[in-house]
Amino acid sequence: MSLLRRRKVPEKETTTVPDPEEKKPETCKPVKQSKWSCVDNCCWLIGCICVVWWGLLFSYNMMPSSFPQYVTEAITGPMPDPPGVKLKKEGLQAKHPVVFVPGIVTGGLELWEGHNCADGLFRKRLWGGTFGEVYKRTKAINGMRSSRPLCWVEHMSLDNETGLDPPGVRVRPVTGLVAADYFAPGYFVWAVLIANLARIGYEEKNMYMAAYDWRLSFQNTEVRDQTLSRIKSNIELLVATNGGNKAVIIPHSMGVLYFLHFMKWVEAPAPMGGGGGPDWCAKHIKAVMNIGGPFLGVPKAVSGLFSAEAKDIAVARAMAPGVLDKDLFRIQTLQHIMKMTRTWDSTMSMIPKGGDTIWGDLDWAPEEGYVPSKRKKSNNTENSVHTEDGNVESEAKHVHYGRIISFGKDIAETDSSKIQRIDFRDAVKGNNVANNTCRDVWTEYHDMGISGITAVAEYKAYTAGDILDLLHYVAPKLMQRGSAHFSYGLADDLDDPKYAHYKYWSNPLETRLPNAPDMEIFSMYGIGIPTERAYVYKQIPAADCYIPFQIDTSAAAEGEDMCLKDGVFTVDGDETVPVLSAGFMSAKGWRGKTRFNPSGIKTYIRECDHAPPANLLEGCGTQSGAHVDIMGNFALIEDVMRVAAGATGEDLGGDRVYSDIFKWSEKIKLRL
Amino acid sequence: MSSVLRFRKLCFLEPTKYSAYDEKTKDQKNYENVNTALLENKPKQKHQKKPPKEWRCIDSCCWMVGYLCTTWWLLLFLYHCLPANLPGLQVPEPPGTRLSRQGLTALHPVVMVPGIVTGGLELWEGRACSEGLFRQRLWGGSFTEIFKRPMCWLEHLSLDNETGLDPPGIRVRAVPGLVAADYFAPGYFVWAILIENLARIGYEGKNMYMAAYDWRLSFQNTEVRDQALSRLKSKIELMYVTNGYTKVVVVPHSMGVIYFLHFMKWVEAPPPMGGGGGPGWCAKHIKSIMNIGPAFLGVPKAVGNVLSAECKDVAFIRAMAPGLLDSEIFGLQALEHVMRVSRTWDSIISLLPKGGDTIWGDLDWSPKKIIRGFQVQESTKYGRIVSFGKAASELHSSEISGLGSQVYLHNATSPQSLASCGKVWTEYDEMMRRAEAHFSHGIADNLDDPIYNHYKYWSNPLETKHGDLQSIWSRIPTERSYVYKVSSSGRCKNIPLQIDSSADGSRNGCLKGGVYFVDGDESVPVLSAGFMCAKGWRGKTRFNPSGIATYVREYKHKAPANLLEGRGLQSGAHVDIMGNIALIEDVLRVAAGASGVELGGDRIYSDIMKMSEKINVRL
Repeated sequence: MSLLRRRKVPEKETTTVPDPEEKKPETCKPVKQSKWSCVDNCCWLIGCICVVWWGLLFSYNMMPSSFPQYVTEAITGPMPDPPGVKLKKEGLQAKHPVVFVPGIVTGGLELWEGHNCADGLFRKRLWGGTFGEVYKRTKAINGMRSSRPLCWVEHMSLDNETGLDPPGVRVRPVTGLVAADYFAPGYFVWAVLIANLARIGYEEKNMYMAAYDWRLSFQNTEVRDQTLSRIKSNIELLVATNGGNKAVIIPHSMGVLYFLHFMKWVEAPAPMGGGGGPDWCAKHIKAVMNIGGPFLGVPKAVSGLFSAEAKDIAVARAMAPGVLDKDLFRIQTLQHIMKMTRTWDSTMSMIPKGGDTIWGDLDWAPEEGYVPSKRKKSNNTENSVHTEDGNVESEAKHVHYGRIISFGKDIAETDSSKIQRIDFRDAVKGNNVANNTCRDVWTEYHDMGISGITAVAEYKAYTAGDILDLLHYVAPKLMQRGSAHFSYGLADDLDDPKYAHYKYWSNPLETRLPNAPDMEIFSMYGIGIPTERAYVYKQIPAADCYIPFQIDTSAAAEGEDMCLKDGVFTVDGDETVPVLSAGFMSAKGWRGKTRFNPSGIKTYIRECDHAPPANLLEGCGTQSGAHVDIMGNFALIEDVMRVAAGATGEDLGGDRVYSDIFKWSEKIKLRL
Repeated sequence: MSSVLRFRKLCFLEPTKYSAYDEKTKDQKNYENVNTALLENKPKQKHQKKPPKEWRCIDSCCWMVGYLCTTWWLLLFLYHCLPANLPGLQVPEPPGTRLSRQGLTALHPVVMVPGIVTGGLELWEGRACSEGLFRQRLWGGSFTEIFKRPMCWLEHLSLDNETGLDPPGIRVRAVPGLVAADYFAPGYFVWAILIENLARIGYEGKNMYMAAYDWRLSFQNTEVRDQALSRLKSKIELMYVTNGYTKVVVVPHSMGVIYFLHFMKWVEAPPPMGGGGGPGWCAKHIKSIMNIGPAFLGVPKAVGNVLSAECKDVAFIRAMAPGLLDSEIFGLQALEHVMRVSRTWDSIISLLPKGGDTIWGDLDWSPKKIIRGFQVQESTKYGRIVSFGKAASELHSSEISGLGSQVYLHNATSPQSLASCGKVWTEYDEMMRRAEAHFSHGIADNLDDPIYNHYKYWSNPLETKHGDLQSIWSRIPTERSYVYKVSSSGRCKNIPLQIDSSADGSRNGCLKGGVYFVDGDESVPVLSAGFMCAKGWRGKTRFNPSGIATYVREYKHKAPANLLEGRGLQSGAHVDIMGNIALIEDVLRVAAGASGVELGGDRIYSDIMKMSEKINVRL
């Protein structure tokens, strides 16, 4: 109040003295015209904004929590009950303990020990969460200014030689359900499934998230963290404390391969294995419900390793668009990313397996004749047997899916007899073209030299079998580490003693399923989204520090039906994993008693057709079929819950197939 | 602040001046142009005066807020620009770094057992009012829900009054993992400092385990409902195997100590009541147990809590959520509600003093009396854990009508005729009956008696046969006994017994606000923490037939020297001791393989040995 009073005083003075003569001396006063200085205005503005913001925040918090749902329902009509509520009404109850195995990228990683630049990040998430640390401000350390993003890359990388921690850095997986329930705020992975399971009585004691460090090769997780032993002990505990009910395992994405590895590991004798005895799986596992499993690898992994360029070499790009801005790393972002991802052995588990037999050779591929629009028409029919296949196939232009990498669009389309290939394997690697400026961004391309790079391009077209040689040539160190842990072949004789080695365990084509006739294997995956299958590459002059190969984004086919777009051939799949990889083993490789499945474990295929979310409010879509969003698919959740509550595959209704997976599998000539 | 005011004053004054000046220049023009229009000009002038006056209250508020925000951001920015380690603010080196330089590395896996209250609880299934809280913390974290929906919160936290388990339709479970109890509330560390220091010598998720359990339940019920004991057993076995067959170091805190006592009996007992680990299980898997602030023989505080909810330790809620106890939030009857909820928590009963008059003293005698030699003439009667009225607490025993503390406990039920009080019934019988089923508070005469195989005796060190390896605890004043007054129980909303806070000791500071204080760590008196290690288990006694070595390590309390130090690097308070450098160092050394003797054996500042002597327990 006193302020107000004081303000009025000068006004009164002026009003009471209207005498013109007295005003003249006053004109000499400072000539400041603005009534409110700029600073005042700014302050006022900020104040206004803050107050309004708080007001909104307050009213938002006061809003009853059911309000958004109410609005949604008003717009779109009543939402279907979430499966948890629906099934609870049916009287389902928690029975079998549930184990989740998260995939690559989706699990959180936290820091336990780091260099100076990571001060204050102890037990904070480096991966997952908000990725706040990636953006974080630069921080002065010992007078030097080092930027956080580089620090982050440094901590996320593994040792290039051993594939384990670099000295002085310990980054470990987050444990517990929090490890992978949300990847980033609002971007759920397992959370929806967990919430629904909780409704029928699940809780911490009968759910378990088998979090592992997804950067390591599978066997190394045991060597460094004893993760496999931990999973074994936890499954045993879950089974024991839940009255002897066997566990239902739900792996997702790369977790599928990880769990294959685990099943072999647990029955193998110590020290290489877990020493659980030959009937461990039969005793402890009821069903394995693979969600979007890349059993036979994904072509995406090839482009990722080859040029760090897969449409999403990591969700990272989508999640943190700023990371790839060149300024953040002072140019050379992709190279940094590539250098980092190349130290992750696990990416190599997803290189296409089975070679030409599975993925097709220069002239042939199981999916040929696939036309994207065709399947849409047949959405309604339950079964996928098409009568008009022959016609469609003849009309469609022949797409050579077998050529996973081809240099130039014409190479991708011409007949194999016209392609002249010069073998690159013997080509001498040239001198190191990398000049000093590129030294800090070491990529193995620079060791290849120009002649090596040309040799690679001269080979024109690479099939799944050639890809391995290519990668060996392009990234020898990486593949050397990789081949100690993974194998991509196709076994002729499974009795060969060499297949006892752990590097074969994650390849379904080189191992047998465990002897557990009561077990069930489900392959659940989404379809209806174009998925990367083959690439058209171009060579760019290796003048500077850039990666010499790039996807030729100009290559696109004419016409709507063609699958070539932006230099990428696409087929049916869930955006990451092609149908062939996700479904083949269940459709053919393991169906019935085969040599890969000696005890005749029952397999089921449950496909989920993709339907994009109807509107924004619906979130990620309750019918989505995309690789990660499928975890929120109601149909899938319902399947999982029914099995967890005791149903068998037959109770669910057996196979549910929309795609051509059976037809394609037929075409693959694999001795069973 | 004064500078802010001055600046504001300036800003308020100047614009008006300028505006006045502005008017004048305009006036001048008018004057020059139309000399004769002076009279007409006057109303116009008034009209023009309005805009400057519109610097209204709202504007100045906005301006003020904006100004504060900007300053705040500026300061924040400056703070962040500050180099991480200003020379002046050099933080003393954490013990982990120092020991790691000395070459200590992780050897034994570490199991941490949190105490009461400090573990987080999260919601798995709830009533309609708790929508949106699925897997959110109800206990621990920021406690925001208390303010948003207090009644709902209380309803979800209370247990069933009959069974001591979940009420129907509600599932509240312990948060698992290290996050369960590293921070109780933001900035209020419990285990975080210890974890961080362990990490510095190489510990990580695979060789640390937080044995989080639902601390509201009685110990055996954690197994019945959550299989928490089986889980702990399996985890210890797993760590034992995966760490190259090195035994485990267990670090329980507060009530976790009793919980772990219970576990050790449970694990060796045959199923179905026990874990079936066989008699050699502990010997095989456990290297040592480092009890921090143990409440072996119970805490007098618990009596206060059971009796009237008004014990100083409702403070744990009161301190965390100051508004909570305001009667308005719950529509009156706050304390009664809190009491009703906490009464359903069986675990509190486990903290009731054990051993009866033998340990805690009877009406005239208490082991504490002698150490307060200078107070003998005052003759504070610590033995009377609950006394009604200050007079009674200081009278000689012959003058009061011979009611022991135990008698008080049961007598307390008689004035409880609260039938008219509707839903806030706080009956004692119910609770004590449940308590009887799960805990026992006596002293065993003959430990071979088969009744001692029942699980209710497992958590009482005076009724079980096993021992302990090490004990660590501290001292600062603690509540020991209470002076109660019977409040007029006419009004329903009052609990008939209240701590008589008007009773205040005259000369010695021992009676303060109705509570007698003795040496201890703010929650646990020395006697409870140290007696078992100092005497009960020392050497081969009947409670410790295998002669496990015991050590007593005390830490003197030193209040933090300045604010920057946070909660004190040398604190000895019950929870703050977890940040005590000396304690952390001891834990690290033991985890890295040292034995008790290498640490230097006992380290004692208090009179625990003398006090223990005075207690006549047959060993």
